[in-house]
Amino acid sequence: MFEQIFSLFLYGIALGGIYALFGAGLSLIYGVQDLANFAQGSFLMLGAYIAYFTINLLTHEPLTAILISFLLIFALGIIIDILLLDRIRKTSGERWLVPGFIVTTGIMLIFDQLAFLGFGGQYRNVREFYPMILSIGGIRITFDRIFILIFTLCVFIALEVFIYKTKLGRAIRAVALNRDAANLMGINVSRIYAITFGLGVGLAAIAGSLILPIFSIYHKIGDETLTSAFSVVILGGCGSMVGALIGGLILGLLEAFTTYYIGSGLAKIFFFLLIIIVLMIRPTGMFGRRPA
Amino acid sequence: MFKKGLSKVYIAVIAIVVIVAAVGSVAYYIWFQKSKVEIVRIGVVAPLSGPVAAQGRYLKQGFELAAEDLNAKGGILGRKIELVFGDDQTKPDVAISLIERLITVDKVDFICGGTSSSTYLPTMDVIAKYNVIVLLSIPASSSFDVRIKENPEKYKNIFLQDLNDTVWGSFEILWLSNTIKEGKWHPRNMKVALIAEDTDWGRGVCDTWNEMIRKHGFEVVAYEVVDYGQVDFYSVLTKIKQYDPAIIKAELTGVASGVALVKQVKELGINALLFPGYSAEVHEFEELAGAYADYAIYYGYPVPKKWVDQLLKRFPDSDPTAAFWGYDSLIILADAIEKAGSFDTDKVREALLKHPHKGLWGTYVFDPQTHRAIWGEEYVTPGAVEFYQGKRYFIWPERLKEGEWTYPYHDFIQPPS
Amino acid sequence: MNSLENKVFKQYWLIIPTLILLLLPLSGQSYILNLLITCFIYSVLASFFNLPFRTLGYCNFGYASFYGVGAYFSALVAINYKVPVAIAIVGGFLFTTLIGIGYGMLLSRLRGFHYVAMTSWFFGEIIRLIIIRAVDITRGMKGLYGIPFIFSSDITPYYYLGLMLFIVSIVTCFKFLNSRIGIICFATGNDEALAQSLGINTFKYKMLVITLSTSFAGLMGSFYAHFRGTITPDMLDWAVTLNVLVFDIVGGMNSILGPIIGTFLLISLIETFRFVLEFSPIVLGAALLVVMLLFPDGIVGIPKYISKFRKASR
Repeated sequence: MFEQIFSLFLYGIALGGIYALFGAGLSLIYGVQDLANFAQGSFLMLGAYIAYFTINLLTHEPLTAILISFLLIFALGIIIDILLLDRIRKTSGERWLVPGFIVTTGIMLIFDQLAFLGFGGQYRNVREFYPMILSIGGIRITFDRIFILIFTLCVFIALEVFIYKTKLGRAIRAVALNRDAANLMGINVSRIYAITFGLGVGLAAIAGSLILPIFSIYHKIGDETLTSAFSVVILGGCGSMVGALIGGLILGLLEAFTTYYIGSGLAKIFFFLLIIIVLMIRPTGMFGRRPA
Repeated sequence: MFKKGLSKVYIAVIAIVVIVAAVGSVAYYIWFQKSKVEIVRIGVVAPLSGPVAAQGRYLKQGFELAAEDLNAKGGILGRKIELVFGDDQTKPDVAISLIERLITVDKVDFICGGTSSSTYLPTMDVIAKYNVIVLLSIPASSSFDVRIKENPEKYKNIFLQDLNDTVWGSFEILWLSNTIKEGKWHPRNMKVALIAEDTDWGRGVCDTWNEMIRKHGFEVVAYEVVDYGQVDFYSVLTKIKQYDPAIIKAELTGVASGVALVKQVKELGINALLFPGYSAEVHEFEELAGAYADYAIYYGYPVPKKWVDQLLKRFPDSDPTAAFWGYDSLIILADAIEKAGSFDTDKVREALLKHPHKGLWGTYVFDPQTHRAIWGEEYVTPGAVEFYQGKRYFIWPERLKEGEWTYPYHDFIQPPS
Repeated sequence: MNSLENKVFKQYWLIIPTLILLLLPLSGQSYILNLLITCFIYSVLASFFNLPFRTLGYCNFGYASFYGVGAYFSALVAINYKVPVAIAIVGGFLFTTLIGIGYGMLLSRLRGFHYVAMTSWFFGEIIRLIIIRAVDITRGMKGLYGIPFIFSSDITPYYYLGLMLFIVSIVTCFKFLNSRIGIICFATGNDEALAQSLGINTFKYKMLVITLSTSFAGLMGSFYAHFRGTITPDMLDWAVTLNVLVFDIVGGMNSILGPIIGTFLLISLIETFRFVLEFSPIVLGAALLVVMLLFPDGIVGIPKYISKFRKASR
């Protein structure tokens, strides 16, 4: 009985870590740019594919694969921001959010289909990152789960350090608080926007890479999990990294346990209802400062 | 004056766009129809994306190989074969549109292919609207048999090359009961857990198991239903683990699902004899699962080694157990056309029913009432296959046996470190 | 609301395409008729999706679920209770309207583009999941087949029915946007506080336009169910809403003809280049980006864009 609950707990935490990273990226972009990045799922998917091919072709070391995935998607994000989003900001001025959101849906359509054409429709996965199963006191723990959890925590710690202790991080916070004031202070807002977008989608890439040993991926995996990313942001509050972490963990645990007891479909229905209630009652989520 | 200019440009733009689209489609349509004279055009539907895309891809290769072989010998009745492929995405509405387009626009003479029963059951009424023979290569749900039997005139053009889910389910149980009766295995208990994919095929097989396994003295302790394409079985398996079944029978079709299942069973430390279902058909299964696949049992199809070599020479990364279905489909069709001496739908239909057709796997004879291939030693019959150390081999029946069945039911199996 | 459109609708040149559409079945090309029926359905969806979007700025991301609800309700009553098809379709329309009213009440409380988009998205997903989970009733992901057809013959009567529904819907849109209610909705979307200060019950009007929008989605869904004979929960996927959104925006969200032209154009484009069907989402995405970046008013805004360009270069 206890073993069951513990194994579900571990599974929920691992899942939650992935959701947290996915949502944190979204939250970051939303917090700084006010943009709801509908293409976040596509970047998760691309990050997963990059990690998959890296592991299969270059090296079996998962950390390298995750790093490469992050860097490539980070770069891609910056390019997208400069080429597309910046253009929209210029043409639409103050009211660029709706066109911007629509542009991200266009990006999503294109990336998903390019992935299908490039990689094929079949599912891919990696057998495991580290083929270890620990047995502590008779309870079996897959090492991969622990790895995901620890890695997620490290990323979040790094994120917090970056945002609060570095000059660039302070600049990002400044832009998030008040874009015009930051501009007046000499911060290059366009550059910050680009970096933030890259970072946000980079986090999605990390999340995608971490999925590989647990689930299989295909070109639509991003869209299917997109609701989870937005759920994390709504629960945890926009712009808050801590909120995303906690929100993600809650989401993961809820999913693991409710799926066990009442089946996955029913669980999701109640969960979405919960999200809608949160949207109506406390739209800023747990830690957010501004409305969604 | 300004407004008048606007209206004119407005109309001009719309007109240009519409004309381009119209001319484009008409031109393409005409060009496509031109080449119909000395060929027989066969539409092939297969899942090229989605959970069973792996199987679908190999199915397609089987068709391509058969077309090449037949064309090398001069085609069918002197006409070369041209294949037109379509991706059904294992979605019924896509399959319906696909079939209608193949018939009304591409003007195919015959249609073959398909893997998922749930995708093609809804297409039966659409097929009934046209007079084109549709030979479904893999769909195995007995719902087809029932509907065709009840309405033979309406569904007269639908044929099913594969055996149905009742046969497949009973067959696995046959192996199991034989093995126990011959004293080769003493299971630690007589409990069985069933995991059915929520598709017509998945439910069909597990329903067969549910009914029949009890007659052999087993007890069904759980019957869980999972989504098509699902890769997360932790909750389901955690539940099943409580009952400690000695056997877990799952009917899953997506390779990723089967791989995830065997992995998660081992990760949760469940000690049971595992049947992963159709998901184990292709080599991706043991490649992706590695040692996690060990001791799983699947039903396999014996195909001649010579043909396997030929297939792998042409498509080096193909899988014979998935590709042969497509190959045999074209062989059966070609045989019926030759025996009918004509491409006429009614004559070919008669020929399909009247004659046996020799394929790679055995001899196909279609039951006149259900339009489905009959099972038996003298027709087509599968064998039980076991996975061990990255390989698969037949363990039953005697005439197909490649190795002895091994199963260390005493010990708990540790995955490789 | 631009008076050009008033003029356009009174222009006689509209008679030509109307005549073509009316006489098309004589050609016997069932494939083209099939295609046009799809265009009719989607252009109605796009037009009505556009109503709250254009007037209130409400992007109803759960729109497809109403399309599906209408289809499933109509199909299920026809199959299980042997209700005659015509009544089933009306039933689908009314049932969807009912749900639309509740939905409208929910959505009208919200302010802000993102709020509405998120809530409607999750709501749509809830409906989709309910339909999938109610396997005993709906057969879940396997979909329903054997839905009774409207007509027992070939495609021509379906075509005329579809055409009729299309015309009725477009006229409804036109009348709505030009009516007092429509203008109030525009005002609400523009500045809700101001509208309220003028004594307008904005809540009521928001509810109205949302309900109207969803009920016609349900109507088209019911029509589709008895036309195709098979439906699956994929109809309720937000990917469908996304397609509708693309047709709407690429065509031109600020006009009535816009969604229609966008739908017809994009659907025929995808079908024309069928042999590269796999590229169609890329085409849609690219069209979306081009429109957003260059012609925010969509295709119908191109003439304006060109003449502006011409004017600027003088």
